[in-house]
Amino acid sequence: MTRVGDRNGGLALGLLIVGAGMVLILDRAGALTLAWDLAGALVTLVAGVGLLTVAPASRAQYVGTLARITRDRGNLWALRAATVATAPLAGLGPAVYGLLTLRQALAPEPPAGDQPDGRRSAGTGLVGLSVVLAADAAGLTLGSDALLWGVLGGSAGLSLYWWGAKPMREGGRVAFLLLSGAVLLWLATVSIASSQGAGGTSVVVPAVAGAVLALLVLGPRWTRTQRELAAEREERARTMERSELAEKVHDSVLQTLALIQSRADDPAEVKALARSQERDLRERLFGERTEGPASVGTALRAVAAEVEDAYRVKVEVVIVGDAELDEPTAALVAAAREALANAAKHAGGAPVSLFAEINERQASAFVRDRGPGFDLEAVPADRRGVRDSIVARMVRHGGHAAVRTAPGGGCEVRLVQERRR
Amino acid sequence: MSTPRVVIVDDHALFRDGVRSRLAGEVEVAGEAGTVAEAIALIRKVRPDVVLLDVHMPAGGGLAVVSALAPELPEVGFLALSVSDAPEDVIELVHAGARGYVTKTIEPGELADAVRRVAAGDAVFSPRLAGFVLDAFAGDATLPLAQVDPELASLTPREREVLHLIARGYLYKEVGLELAISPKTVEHHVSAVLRKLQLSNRHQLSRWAAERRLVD
Repeated sequence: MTRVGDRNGGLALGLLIVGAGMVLILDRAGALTLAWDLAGALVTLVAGVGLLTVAPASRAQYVGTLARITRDRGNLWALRAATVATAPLAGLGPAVYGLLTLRQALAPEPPAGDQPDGRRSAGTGLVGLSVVLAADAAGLTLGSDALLWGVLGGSAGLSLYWWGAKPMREGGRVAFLLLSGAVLLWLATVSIASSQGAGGTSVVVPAVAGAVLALLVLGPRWTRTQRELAAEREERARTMERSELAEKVHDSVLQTLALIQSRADDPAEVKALARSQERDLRERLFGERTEGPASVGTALRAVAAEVEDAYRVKVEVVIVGDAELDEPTAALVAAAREALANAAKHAGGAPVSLFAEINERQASAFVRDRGPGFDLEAVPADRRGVRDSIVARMVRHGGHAAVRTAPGGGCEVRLVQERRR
Repeated sequence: MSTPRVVIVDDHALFRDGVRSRLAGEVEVAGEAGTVAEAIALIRKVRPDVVLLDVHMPAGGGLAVVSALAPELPEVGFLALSVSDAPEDVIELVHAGARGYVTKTIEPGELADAVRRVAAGDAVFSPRLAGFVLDAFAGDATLPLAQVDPELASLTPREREVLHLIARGYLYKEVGLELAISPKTVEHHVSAVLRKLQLSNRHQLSRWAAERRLVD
């Protein structure tokens, strides 16, 4: 009995329960001498079946675990049958069913169209309750009366609590208040009557009734406030994220576009601006920027970016695997930077490729350009770039470097660094 | 070979125009589509040889188009074009049936070449895609692919060499020269890798890709 979304259904249910409560009170007061429990069972049964008939069967009646179970119609009927059949066991079936439907009320906000129809839940619950009442009247229930009413009252109270915690329409609110009142009245009557039977009214009864009342009225409001606060916080965080993004877009994209307009007469400059902007956005959008300890991969990407900017050439970077940057791999990165700079100078504007593979055994990097290529042996001894910065540096750190003319022209520098295991 | 018929799918008209002009004279553009639904209807109607497909579009993106059409139209080749280098995007698309992936910054000549190769039923691996695949199929037995299906998870040494060279920026014919094999054999190896990728467990693959992105 979690949600009675329909105004009429909710009102009818509320009035019915109030009526039942009145009958109960009159009976306890000795003004009525009916077989009221059988009559109650009959009325509850009629109300339950009525609700089940009125409410259309909807696929979205259940959510969560219940939805998975009830997807199969056979299972759905089995669930209903089990609810009714186990009702005489101290009201177990309807109680469990009520608690299971709580899950639906607990779902923060099921998507529109996926709202479980409370009338059907209430209807099934009432049918179950009628069986409990009938069984009780016939003396067929297992467990004591106190246990029975405890289980039923407890699950009804919990259902009401969660119902109250949901945002609801006008009809739902009225029905909720009526229902809460009826349940309270009923609880109070039963407890007063039983304490009288046990000899004298104690102060415990009104105290407990008061506490339950406070819980039913204030509890849901508190829960709802908490939920709304959390939603608000989330919304604020989202807004902040949006404005941060807008700021970044302004800082980078708009500034770059302005720059591009002012430099429209220099194609090389425009290309370079677009390239650095692309890289920057890519890092932001696809998370290629890594925070924390520097890795070989990020270091290689950084030097590739430097070379792109400095030499106005596109560097295609592909990195497989990664590792934390240490001294030998830092040497590899430095050598790769030198090789990239060299390639950029000789590539004649064609893209340069950097491929690096880092695994447990070794780190290797390949820098390839499509320029005219050159012969390492023919490089004059005073040209220090290749020999010192690349080959000697690698050797000094226990690696090696090789330069070769690649098939199809151009040149490829291969850097290999063994890694300690 | 006859001129391949191409459909261009991208939600940005500016980009479609750019691709069209870059491919002018090299292929026949049979149509353009700007949304997933439009693309599916158009491709069903004109049955092009190749679909140039943007990865990122509203309503499911390129993945939705490939998933919807690849089983039904096996003769249509899908080539993914993207600015995204996120491996999960790319790998998912290839897994769904795309015959290759290139970045949007690809040189015009290479794009036409890639279209022709897809039209001929071959696979197109950009250096990036080769890098992703090498990562996914790394010899490490702790990687998810190896646990799921050792057969699919292992690349032959030759396939590994070929991918390695592609990742290093070698064109197919340069790979052939380097390994002393014909370009046709290079195609053959690349297609075999593509097949392994498509047959491997999708869930494992995307989880791997997502994890890789986290540590990247």
